[in-house]
Amino acid sequence: MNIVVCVKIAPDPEDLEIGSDGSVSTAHAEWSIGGFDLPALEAGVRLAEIHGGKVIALSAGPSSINQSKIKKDILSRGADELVLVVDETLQDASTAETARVLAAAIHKMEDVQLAFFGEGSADLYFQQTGAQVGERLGWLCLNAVQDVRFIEHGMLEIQRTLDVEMQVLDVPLPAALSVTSDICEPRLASMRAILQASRKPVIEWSLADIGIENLAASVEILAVQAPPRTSRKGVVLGGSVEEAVRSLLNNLKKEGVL
Amino acid sequence: MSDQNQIFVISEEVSLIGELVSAARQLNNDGFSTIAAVVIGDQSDVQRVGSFAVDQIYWIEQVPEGYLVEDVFLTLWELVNQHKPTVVLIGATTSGRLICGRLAARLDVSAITDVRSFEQVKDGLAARHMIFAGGAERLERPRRLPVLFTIAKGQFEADIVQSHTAPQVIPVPFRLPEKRAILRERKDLPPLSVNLAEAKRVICLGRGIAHQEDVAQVEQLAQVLGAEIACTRPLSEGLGWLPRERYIGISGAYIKSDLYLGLGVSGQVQHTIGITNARVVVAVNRDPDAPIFKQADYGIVADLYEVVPALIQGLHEA
Repeated sequence: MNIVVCVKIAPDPEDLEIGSDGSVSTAHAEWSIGGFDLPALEAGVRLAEIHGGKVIALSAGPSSINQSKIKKDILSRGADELVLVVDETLQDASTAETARVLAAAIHKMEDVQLAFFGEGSADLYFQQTGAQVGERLGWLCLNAVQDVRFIEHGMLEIQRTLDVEMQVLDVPLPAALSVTSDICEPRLASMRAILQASRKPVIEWSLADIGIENLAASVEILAVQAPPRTSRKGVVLGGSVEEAVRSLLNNLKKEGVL
Repeated sequence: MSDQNQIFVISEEVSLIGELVSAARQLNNDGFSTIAAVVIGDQSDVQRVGSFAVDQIYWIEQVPEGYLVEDVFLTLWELVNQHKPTVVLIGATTSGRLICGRLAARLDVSAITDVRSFEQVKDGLAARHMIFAGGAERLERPRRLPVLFTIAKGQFEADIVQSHTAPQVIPVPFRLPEKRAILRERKDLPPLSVNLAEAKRVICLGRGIAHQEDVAQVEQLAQVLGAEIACTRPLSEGLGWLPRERYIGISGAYIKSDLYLGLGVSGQVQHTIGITNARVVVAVNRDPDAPIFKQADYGIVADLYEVVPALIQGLHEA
């Protein structure tokens, strides 16, 4: 049995450029795998290391996701194959489009009964993809999964952490699981893994390849703007530490917050 | 058949329904729709929700023993299918997100999650939510009905409406799901140690704290200052030095304290989004170029290990 791990490749939020008019640009941002998706990939790789089967990493997006550095990064972290569904209309895909494409791609794969997802994407963080993909496939869907292991063929035991309680559940396959970012620590790729990565297969599919002819946008994006910032005084208190602290305490007293 | 336009509010957390109803009422300012709440709970929960002036209550008395609250999905799906609401508002809890995603998939619509506000636009309804870890806000208009939103906690205020006709209460039997996970064990997590959103003063620790043992030093300062201790996400989720409820930022707490004192906090947007409503922001960091200084009222460029004892002493003398 093979395991799919869905990863979002997106502009790094750290590289966002905010204009003086509040405009937001990702033009110079570096694209990478989302930080929440790395633990999902690691969880998939660890399960496959114990129980066998391939780990297939899957991502969908515009041609910006198709960069050799990113592909190598994913494959050096233990995935056996990478499948990319590339189409420019996926640039601003909302959750329904993304889920439809990922579900169609998984449907096309052979012998897959388990899909992992991160807690949310690094750019949009809707926290919806795992549930929507799983439901579209007709699989069992769960989120907030903090631990996972096989107990018998076709059955997983998972631990799930909600706001107020922890649950231990038996999960029959097929299943789509969104994991928490502390499910496991993502590995750093070894030199050997990096060298091996370039020999692993990368499969590129178009929308047509997965049987999607028309991907109508379910949501219209009207505006993207930097959130209003509270204006701050920006006073840096100089002098020795003692002087700066004294001045700080005086100021805080004046502000009435002490 | 389709009823009059309905807005559904759904949450397994009865305490969130008041906020959801307020959001629904904002969307219904023309009064063309009725507001229906789905309540999973007992008679007292139904009464509580009734006080928020909803028109209907779909009452699911109980999720059977051994089932997850999310197993209510099939029951909800049938309600949605039968009544065809135009808008469905769901509380943004872990379970709410799962239910929302499954509904969205079956309805072939997108869900917009953690909505912070709504806007009426020419062609209908648009919702605002954070993207890029709080670095930007996006305004989006769903193009297909029904519209699915999850509502971030604390964005709308629950109103108890005094003179309202009692809602129509419609009992709905729980439908057993087609497939489910088997619950083996369930354990209550320890109660949350703090509600940072209510704290008057907050001291926040960042990566500038070198060792877990050093947290004790800062606790001393917190005691003198009467402040709660908070942290940035890596100290909680990465290092586990402080519990989850103590981290400030995009997926953590949003504070509105009088004072925020950041110690060794660099000031990345994922974190600072959570302090925009603090009244006075103070930053201590060794790095004069740390972005936090641009978003602080008062900054001290120094080693926090020198500043903390000096602050304790200064506060004692004051």
